[in-house]
Parts: sequence; structure tokens; C-alpha cells
Amino acid sequence: MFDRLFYREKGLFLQSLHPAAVLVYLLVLLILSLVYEHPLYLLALLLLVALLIREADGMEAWEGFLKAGIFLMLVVMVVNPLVIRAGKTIIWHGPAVPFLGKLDISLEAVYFGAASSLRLLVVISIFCLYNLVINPDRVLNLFSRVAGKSVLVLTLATRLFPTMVRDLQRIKEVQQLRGVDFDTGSLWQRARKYSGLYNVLLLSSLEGAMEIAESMQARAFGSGRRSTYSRNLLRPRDLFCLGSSVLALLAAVWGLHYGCGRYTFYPEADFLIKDGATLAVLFIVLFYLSVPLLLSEGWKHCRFLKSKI
Amino acid sequence: MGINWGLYTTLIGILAVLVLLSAMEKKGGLDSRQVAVIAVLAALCAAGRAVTGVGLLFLQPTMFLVEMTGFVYGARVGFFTGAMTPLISNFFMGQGAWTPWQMLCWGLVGVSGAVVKVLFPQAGNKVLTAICFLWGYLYGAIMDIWQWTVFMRPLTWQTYFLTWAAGFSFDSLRAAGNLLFSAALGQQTLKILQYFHKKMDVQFL
Repeated sequence: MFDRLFYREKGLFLQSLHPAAVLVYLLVLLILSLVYEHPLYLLALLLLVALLIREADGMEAWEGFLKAGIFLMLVVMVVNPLVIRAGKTIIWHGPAVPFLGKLDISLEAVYFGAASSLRLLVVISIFCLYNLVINPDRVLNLFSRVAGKSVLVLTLATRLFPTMVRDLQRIKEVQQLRGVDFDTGSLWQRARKYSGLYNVLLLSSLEGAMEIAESMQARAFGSGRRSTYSRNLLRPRDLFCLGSSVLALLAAVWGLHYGCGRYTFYPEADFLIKDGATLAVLFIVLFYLSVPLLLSEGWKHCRFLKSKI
Repeated sequence: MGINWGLYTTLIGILAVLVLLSAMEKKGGLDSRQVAVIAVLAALCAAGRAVTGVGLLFLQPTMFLVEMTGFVYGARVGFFTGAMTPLISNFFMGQGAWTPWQMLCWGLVGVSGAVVKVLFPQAGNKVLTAICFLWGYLYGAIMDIWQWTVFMRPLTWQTYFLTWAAGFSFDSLRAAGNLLFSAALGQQTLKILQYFHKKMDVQFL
């Protein structure tokens, strides 16, 4: 598990985008998923992200993310109806409970809990998408200009991570050859054996840190301003993505100004589709947001488009 | 519903982490030894968090190490080590909206170690163990703030309490893990870290 990153290079269109373009696009998606209260809008976002995840060939990874999110979803769905008293349609008159007061479950509260967990689903899926399409190395490269040392620490640590897991294995084998049996003895004895393992690992890695520091010093680390070098191309496809993300955000803000995307749950839930404007704004925002998806499809099936972007 | 707290807390988390990291990096500048030690300790912590996070649920031998790093090496190294721990382990476990807040919490764990050093310079493993135990719950309580503001309405003490209560068993596991590991391994860890602290402190004349 730890000899490979979560990210896999698959040569997909979405992975070939400039990291800044993808970051802006995902940030817009995240902001919209947190701002929108309308269940229909959240559902549309979820659909879009699901399609993108399929495009990034990540249905299995998505399954893992969703499994991890189920507990949180359950909490959200249970807690909200238990405490919200603003709903008008009471479906169950519960007993009086200390601290919480009278347990009256209203339909609106259940509805709101469901909508909230839908939002949770969208947020989790957006991050699943992030992990699928962005190479962490390229993101770090992007930030190395502004925060060189943090990125250096991060790169060093990420590189040391698998080494450490391997070191642990090696130390364990050496100890076993010397007669330490990790599988026998009481729990306390076993814990003591493992703590010896940990001490050796800590000592040897810190010793290694000193060596790394010396070799960095020998390579003139910290002797002056740092030079940076970036090979990320900004291609037309990145400009399309950046532009459409900004347009989507603007359209969403404009729509929110006129109340499209807002939704009142209490005291009585609003109509799902109040007027034509709700649908129109949803359509516009979704169209702009689906540009990367459309480009990806075009890249696969249309040679002319592929040559142009 | 007026103010959208979910959006704000998420953005506040991201901004706070960015500002703190860049401010700590700019101020004075880290030398090569500090960079290397931070990287190694962060990798160690991340490995501990990722390996045991999967195997032993929340019993992780990590928080006390961050705490002690802050105690021995000071607030800056402590914060960096702490903040990098979730970031690195999440490269393997999956990044998310939770990452900035986790970084903030872990960074604070490191800073708290340095605070202990300032307040009680003679503090031993027992004091640190007690603080680690408290952090097990405090960490859960801070992380719940994010979850609460994003997914719960209305934002009252009751909803917060329920969110916290839902995670109480996990928090207890984490606190118990901190207590066990810190009590068992703290003394030696402190000794090793202090030995390297002396070794690092080279003055060029």
C-alpha cells in the first residue's frame, strides 16, 4: 500500500491539464457545493462529479471514498432531525429527553438531513476526483516558487516515507535473526519487543537526517536566493478550463444574487422547482462546469479537437 | 440561513494553514539541519499515522512524537512537523477538505509542546503524557467544529454536543492510544530527541 502514491498516472486527458487549471476548477466546484442549499443543484453537482470520476477511470477509488464517508453521513442524517425544531410537519411525537427537550421529528428536518448528507457526498466526491486527476508532484512544483522550504520538507518526507516502512521491515528482520521472536510472549512482552524496534528506527532515521542536512549544506542549501524551474505548459485546454471555471463562478454568484440556488427548508420546505429561472441558472452553471468533461470526450473521439487543444 | 459558515470555516482553515506555514518559513529561515529533521520526523509520524490508522483504528503512536518534537526543538519545528504529518499521510490515504483543519490541529499539538517547555522547563514525560491524553479529546473536538459548521443546522450548542458525542468513542480510542504510547515510549523518545538537539546545535565561530 505504501510503496505507491494514491495517484496513478494513466495518460488521461484530465491528468494532462495544468495543475493550476485543475485546482481552480475543483475549488470552484467545492465553493459551489458549500454555497448551494438547493437539493436539485447539489444533485446536479454530484452527477457531474460522478461523470468526471468515471472519465478519470476511478470508480473503484470512489467506492472506497464513499465507504469511508458513510459513518459521517449517518451522523448528519440522524443528528439533524433530532435537534431541529423549526419544521412544521411533525411525523413523530417523541418522549421528552433531558438536554434535548421534547423529541418531535419533523419531515422538514429529515429532508434537511438528507440534503446535508447529499452535500457531504458531493464534497467527498470532489476530493476523490482531486486525488485521481492531480499529480501531487506537479502541485508541489506549482508552490515551490512561493514556499520553497515547506515544499522541500514535504518532498523529502514523502520520499522518506516508503524508505521508513522498508527500514522498519529491515530492522525487524535483523532483530529476528538475533533471536527476538515477535510472535511469542505475553502482550506486555511483545509490546516491549516492538518498542525496541521503534527506538532503533527513530535513532537511525535521525542519524540519516543529519546526513541529509550535511549533503544539503554541501550542495549550497540556503546560501542565497533559490532559483526555480517549471516545465508546466499552459495549453489552450487549460485556458478553456480556467475560463469556464471563472464563468461558472460568476454565473453562480449572479444567480445567488437573485435567489437561484437558495432554498428554504423551514418552517415548510420550498417547491423544488420554483420558477424557470432556477432551471435556467442551473443549466448555465452546469454547462460551464462541464467544459472539462466535454473537452475530455472530444479529446477521445475527435482528432481535429485533439490537435487543436 | 444568512451566513454560510460551512464555506467560511473551510476557507478559514485553508488560509490559516497557508499563512502560518509561510510566516513560519519566512521568519528567520530554516537551516538545513532543521529542514532535514522536520522531514524525517514528519515522515516517521506520517508512517505511524498511516500504518496504524489502518491496522489499529485510532491507536496511533504519533501524537506524542509531535508533542515531544515541539517540546525539544521549539514551536517552529513542532508546528512544521505536526502540520506536515496529516498532509503526507493523506497522500497515501486520500486528501480532502479535512486536510487543512487536520494540519492546523496537528501543528497546534507541536506548538503546545513548545508552550509546555516555556511554562515548565523541567517537565518530564508524565506532564507530556497527560497533555497528550487531553489532546486526544481536544483534537476530536476541534475537528468536529468543521464537520458541525458544514453539515449541521441550526448551529447550536446542542447540535455541536451531538456531533461530538457521535465521535466520542473514536476520541477515547485516540486519547487512550496517546496515553499508552506516550507512557511506554515517551522516556526514550525524549532522550533520543534531546541527544540530537545537542548534536544539531552547532555554532560556527
